[in-house]
Amino acid sequence: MKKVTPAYEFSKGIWKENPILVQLLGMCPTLAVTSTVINGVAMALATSFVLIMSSLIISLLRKIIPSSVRIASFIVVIATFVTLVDSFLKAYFYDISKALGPFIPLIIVNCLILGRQEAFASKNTVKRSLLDAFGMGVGFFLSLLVLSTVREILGFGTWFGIQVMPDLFNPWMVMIMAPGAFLTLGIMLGAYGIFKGKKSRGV
Amino acid sequence: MKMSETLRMVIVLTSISIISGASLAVVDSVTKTRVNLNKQSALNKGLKRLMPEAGNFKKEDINNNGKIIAVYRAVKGNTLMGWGFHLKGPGFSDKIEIIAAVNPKITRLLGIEVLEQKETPGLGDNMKKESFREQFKGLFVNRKIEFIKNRIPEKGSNKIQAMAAATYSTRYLLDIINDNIKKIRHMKKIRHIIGGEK
Repeated sequence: MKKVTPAYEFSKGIWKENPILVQLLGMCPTLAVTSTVINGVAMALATSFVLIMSSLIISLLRKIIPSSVRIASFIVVIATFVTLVDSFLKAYFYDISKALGPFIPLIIVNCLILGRQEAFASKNTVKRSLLDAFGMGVGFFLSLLVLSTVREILGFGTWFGIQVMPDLFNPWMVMIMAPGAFLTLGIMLGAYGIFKGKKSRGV
Repeated sequence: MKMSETLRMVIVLTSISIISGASLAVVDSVTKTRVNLNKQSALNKGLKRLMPEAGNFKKEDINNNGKIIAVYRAVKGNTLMGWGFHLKGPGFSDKIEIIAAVNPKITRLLGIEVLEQKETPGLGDNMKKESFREQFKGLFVNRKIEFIKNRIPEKGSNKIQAMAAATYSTRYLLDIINDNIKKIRHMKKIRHIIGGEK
């Protein structure tokens, strides 16, 4: 087995194995809630929190959980943290919770989280699993930040709700609708591909 | 060996579930009051915005065939200033919850406030906007409120201009207002207060 440094365990989620750009996991919230930056950021933070906490618990319990009930155990752990986040947002960030609506409970079935438990946390030490979860969380956060920035600026002319485009700018309605999400994500994936291709060819 | 493996499965999954349930119960008991407080304060703010001159809102639940509608009597001293109805119904995406404020006789709208909705961002969720909601001021609720598309309705036509590209959201919103207020107006308890005129 190839030796992997802890630094790589963290950084791979940000670029080389970015959950959105490379693994294409967790597409549903990515596309649905990124019409404004505040929603995208809140979603990414909530998802990262659940991912990190679940990875911690699962890697701690990895020797105790029998493999035949592992998926069920992962889901119970994930669902617990999601419900916790949901209650927390409802109590302390009521407006954000209203804006994100059903997408918070749906973090439970976000395949990024379940995928990391199955592929990583259940097979690695607590330290490595936490590094992996943090890295994936940061990668998810950055991707959603870029996606929602493009969409909010073009779709509303604002960034974090602050006017950034001149008054003459006519917002592109399509950017805040579903097609805008697909278009932006497609362009991001394409740009990533071009960049990576160039690098590997040494151009 | 087989038995112990099964037993282990049962024990592990049961323990995880119990711990999970217990921690959620704790979190729920901590946040519950705050969540309800948030909802109630959003409602109170809405009532106050719609009927700023009222000093007090008295809550009454009225039963409409098993469906409870929360009715707020807006009073100033002893005079009835109007009513606030907390209405719910299906929307294009999910449940819509609004407050409709009406005059004491329940003939005209004083305005509406949207409490909860998950309509399409940028289209149906424009119902939150002041510019859309202010069309409701002064409309008659003893007849049906209707909508037209793409132009401003004539005065006195009891119509509103539908949200652009969100006809269904508009229709659902009007259904919630029309159906519920019609039912409320026909309730014995209410008719007694507002007088019998039909």
